Amino acid sequence: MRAASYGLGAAGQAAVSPLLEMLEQTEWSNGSSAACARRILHALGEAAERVSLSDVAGVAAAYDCCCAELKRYEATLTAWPLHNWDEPAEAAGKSGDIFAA
Amino acid sequence: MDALPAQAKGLRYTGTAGVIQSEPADEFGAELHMVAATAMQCLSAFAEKVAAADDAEVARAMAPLLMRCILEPEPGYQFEARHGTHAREVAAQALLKLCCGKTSALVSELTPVRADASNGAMHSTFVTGELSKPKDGLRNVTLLN
Repeated sequence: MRAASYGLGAAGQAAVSPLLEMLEQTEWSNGSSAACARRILHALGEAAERVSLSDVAGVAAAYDCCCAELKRYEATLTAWPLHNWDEPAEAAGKSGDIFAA
Repeated sequence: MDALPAQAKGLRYTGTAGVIQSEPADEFGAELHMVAATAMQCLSAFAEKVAAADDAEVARAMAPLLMRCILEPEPGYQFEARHGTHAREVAAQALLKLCCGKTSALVSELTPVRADASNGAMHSTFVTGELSKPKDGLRNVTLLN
């Protein structure tokens, strides 16, 4: 996927329309689809030589979808999704009185 | 944790100075944060070309999205993820590119843009005019045409 991303990024303006089309078809349903979107966005930035309003609109739409998915993702969490909390109570979201001495 | 002074303990929980940078532990959440950052990287690459081409119309279309990324509350846990911070930094860079290139005539339209992330890594104010002294913990940046 990374190699394809770099290849399309080097392809120039001709790659912009297919990249935007692929971006529009992103399902945003799992890590793999999000990773694809990330690679497409990276390639799009490299490939575009003459940036148009529709290019910007395509990126804006993808960003909106990503933010909306982040909100849904947050709602599915039952505890802090963090791997560097070092106390079981923190991982369970029981922070208690944080300013207590 | 119990040995930490109360203030340090509070800082850790409220996500300000000294907090451990955190990010989602699962692939989906991490990828979503990286997509947000990469979208801003894409716009930053666009900004270089837009500024070089002096395309004010496209620059005007890009600015609200960049400002939104910098100023709006983070969705989900993006604020605490390092990629969320990175997205804001890249968005600010893209705005600077628009301000400093041939599209610099838009500076007055892009100011004041204040990135007010509260972890100290992203305190920037874009202003025109004379360089002003830092105040209220914010760093003012003068953009010269």
